Amino acid sequence: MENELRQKAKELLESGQVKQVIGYEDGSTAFKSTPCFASSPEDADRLVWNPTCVNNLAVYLPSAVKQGKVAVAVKPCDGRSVVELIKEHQINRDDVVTMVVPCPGVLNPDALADIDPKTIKNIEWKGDGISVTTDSGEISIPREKAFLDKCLSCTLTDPAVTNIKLGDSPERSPLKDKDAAIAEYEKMSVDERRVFWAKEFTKCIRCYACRQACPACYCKECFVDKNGQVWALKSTDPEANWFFHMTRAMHLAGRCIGCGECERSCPMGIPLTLIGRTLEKDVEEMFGSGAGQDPDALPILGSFDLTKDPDPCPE
Amino acid sequence: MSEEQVITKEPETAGAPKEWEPKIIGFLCNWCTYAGADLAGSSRLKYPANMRVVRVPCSGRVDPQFVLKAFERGFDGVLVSGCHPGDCHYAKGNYYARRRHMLLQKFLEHMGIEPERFHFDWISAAEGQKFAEVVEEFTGQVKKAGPFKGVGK
Amino acid sequence: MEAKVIAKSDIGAWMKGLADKCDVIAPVKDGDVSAFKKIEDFGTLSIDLPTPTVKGLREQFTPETETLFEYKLTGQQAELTSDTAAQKDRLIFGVRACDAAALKYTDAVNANCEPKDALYFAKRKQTTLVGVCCTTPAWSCFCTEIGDFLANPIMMDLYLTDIGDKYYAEALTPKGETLIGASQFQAATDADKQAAESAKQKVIAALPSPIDHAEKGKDFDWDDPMFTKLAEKCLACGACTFLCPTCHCFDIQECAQGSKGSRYRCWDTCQFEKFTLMGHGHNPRPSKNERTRQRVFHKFKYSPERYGILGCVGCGRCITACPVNIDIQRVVHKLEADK
Ligand code: SF4
Ligand code: SF4
Ligand code: SF4
Ligand code: SF4
Ligand code: FES
Repeated sequence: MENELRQKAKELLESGQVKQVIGYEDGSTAFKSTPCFASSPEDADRLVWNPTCVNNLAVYLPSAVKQGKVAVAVKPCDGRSVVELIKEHQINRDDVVTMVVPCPGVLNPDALADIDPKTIKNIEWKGDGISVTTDSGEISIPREKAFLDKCLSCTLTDPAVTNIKLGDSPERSPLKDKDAAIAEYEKMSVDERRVFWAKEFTKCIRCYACRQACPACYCKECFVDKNGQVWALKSTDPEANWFFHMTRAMHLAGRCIGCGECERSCPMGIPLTLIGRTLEKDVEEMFGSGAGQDPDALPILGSFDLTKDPDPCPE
Repeated sequence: MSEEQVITKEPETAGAPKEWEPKIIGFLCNWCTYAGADLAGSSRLKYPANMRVVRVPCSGRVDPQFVLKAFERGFDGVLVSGCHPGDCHYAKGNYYARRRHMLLQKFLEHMGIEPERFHFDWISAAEGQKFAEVVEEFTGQVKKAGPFKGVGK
Repeated sequence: MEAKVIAKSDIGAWMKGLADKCDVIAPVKDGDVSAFKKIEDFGTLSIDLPTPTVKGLREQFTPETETLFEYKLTGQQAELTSDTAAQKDRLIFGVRACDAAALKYTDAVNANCEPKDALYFAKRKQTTLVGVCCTTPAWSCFCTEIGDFLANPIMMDLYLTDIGDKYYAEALTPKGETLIGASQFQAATDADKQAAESAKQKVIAALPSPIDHAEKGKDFDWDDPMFTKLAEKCLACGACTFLCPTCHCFDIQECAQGSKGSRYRCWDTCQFEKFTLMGHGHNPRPSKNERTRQRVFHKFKYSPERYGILGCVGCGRCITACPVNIDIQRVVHKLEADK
């Protein structure tokens, strides 16, 4: 598959169809990969596709297309971000070539907890899960432990904006219910949730890694960075943190595709995807559609439906 | 009223015994609900005086941030009200507002703020009576929910 | 200076004794992460030593948000209050050698202006630091490349080395000597000393060898093409710099609410676009190119030039935190090779 990816990337670059290909390359350790920006056919040889390819590369598209047409390697989940970006007119459909990689699931870092990281030499898919090559031999990690939660419940097929399909899509047989975590969370009373989030948000140091890693957070100037009319304080007081996260959540309502990049990037371990998924569920229930499905759809909060929208006070 | 007065002014309660009174903020559309409130006043209808009113040009002007800010600053309840479907001065501001705020209400509940503390409604300029009733009912509802414990702890 | 030993089982009792005189702060697990917290309950002491704290000591001396003063207006009268009231003395337990070493740098920075940063130094003065030699370095640690403070700790009062069921405790300052005067400490034998020495050497052996980064930094190439590459993938978040124990930049902000308000400072970073944005709209570091260079150059080139000390202690936090795997150790090695 990796060869196929490199081959396609080379073709696209050689023929001048695209200016660059955004994919993954080996990172500074065997258990991390890093985004790769290939602009020549030689660069394409560095591209990799393995379980460490967790990043959602769609985040780079709005700035990358400014230099010309871009090809990007996307997992089916990340492909939803591309749909959103097109739908929200951040990129033109014609400026991007999506190369959809077949994805059995990507690495959950917790899977490596019992392995000395310095001994890890390689990680690849094998059987249902992954195989980790270490100095002292090979370790197989089963699927339920190897992959991220979003992967264990994934039922996604090729995104609506697929240009090039690499390999065969693996069978999808979700191991987990997508909403298991939400169901667990919803066992809390409303007031317990208030306390829960107050505690989580106090941890926030406002590094904005969540926002920067999010492909949907592309605003030229984020509300929290405004210096004139200050709605959101830069202070990390619990109330100010709550306000930042709640507003950000509302800005993402109906747009978050659940890639989990925010939570993965948060150094403070705040369970941010819980917020996104809760909202996503509400949107689906209330308005019957979701993010990242149809590039021609109107944004959920930028449209209305007179026949279906709930009426707050039916006559 | 200045921002500070809006935030800090204690509600003027008619009765003598000083029990806890909820602090409520209302974002009312200039073309309908605000006029409805006027009508309620000039018709000398009685309703609780807990609500500080912020007049907005359209319910579509009410950014969810306004509501969030109110809860951040410790308000006990927030009311948003605009023109009935079909009556919006700007044709469809209220339709956008409806989606946004119905969703916000649900989301707030998921994040730990009781749905009783937030209300979205349609009240026209002719509905002085409805205005009084909605405010009365909402105030009672917020009162029942009790003082808001805040978002910070 | 003097060295003694303390049984691991006595640590709780010892800290409880200290808590009468000062706040005791130690790393505890908080959900997925480990953080310095004030210890209230010494009965169920759950100090988490193996995992490095997500944040170093920065927040202990420059909190993420720190009020400078508050004001209140009554008519034409303004009343200013600054809540710099001395806090309780405190003892921070479980400090890593790298995090303590970072204080040498932040001390230098904060003293490098007049008036010196009073809020910072007040907290420094009131704090006693008890360090612990690492036993299980993270994959990203490279402190030994920067300095030998793992073997010869600096900027702390007492240094504990794990030697089985007890700690070998070296007093490094008079404060530290007083600490080991407590009844829980016993005289150390030669064997204890030996054990401590070999424990230290064992960790050091697993870490990279020293490099004279300060010297090499002199020749860094301003136009190194690598920065364009880094800038492409850098997300311009603050994860690296906010977790860095030597990063110290802050922003000054105001919060006005009607007739009262406050001025506070909060963390800021050169990785944010607005960090260098001037009032009139000019930005001397307009792109991520300049900003990625700034972080590396500041730590490895400018700091040695200005303060005679590296602005990195090799704690590796920025490496683990970076969502796109920008690895400062690799970056610096590459720069040194490129020059
Ligand atoms: S909010 Fe989080 S999960 Fe949703 S699209 Fe953004 S990064 Fe992905
Ligand atoms: S990444 Fe985490 S710590 Fe940083 S701003 Fe987002 S929630 Fe806060
Ligand atoms: S630059 Fe990175 S490794 Fe160096 S002290 Fe800062 S966080 Fe630690
Ligand atoms: S953590 Fe990584 S992505 Fe974020 S600013 Fe630092 S180097 Fe860039
Ligand atoms: S004008 Fe009243 S809601 Fe739009």
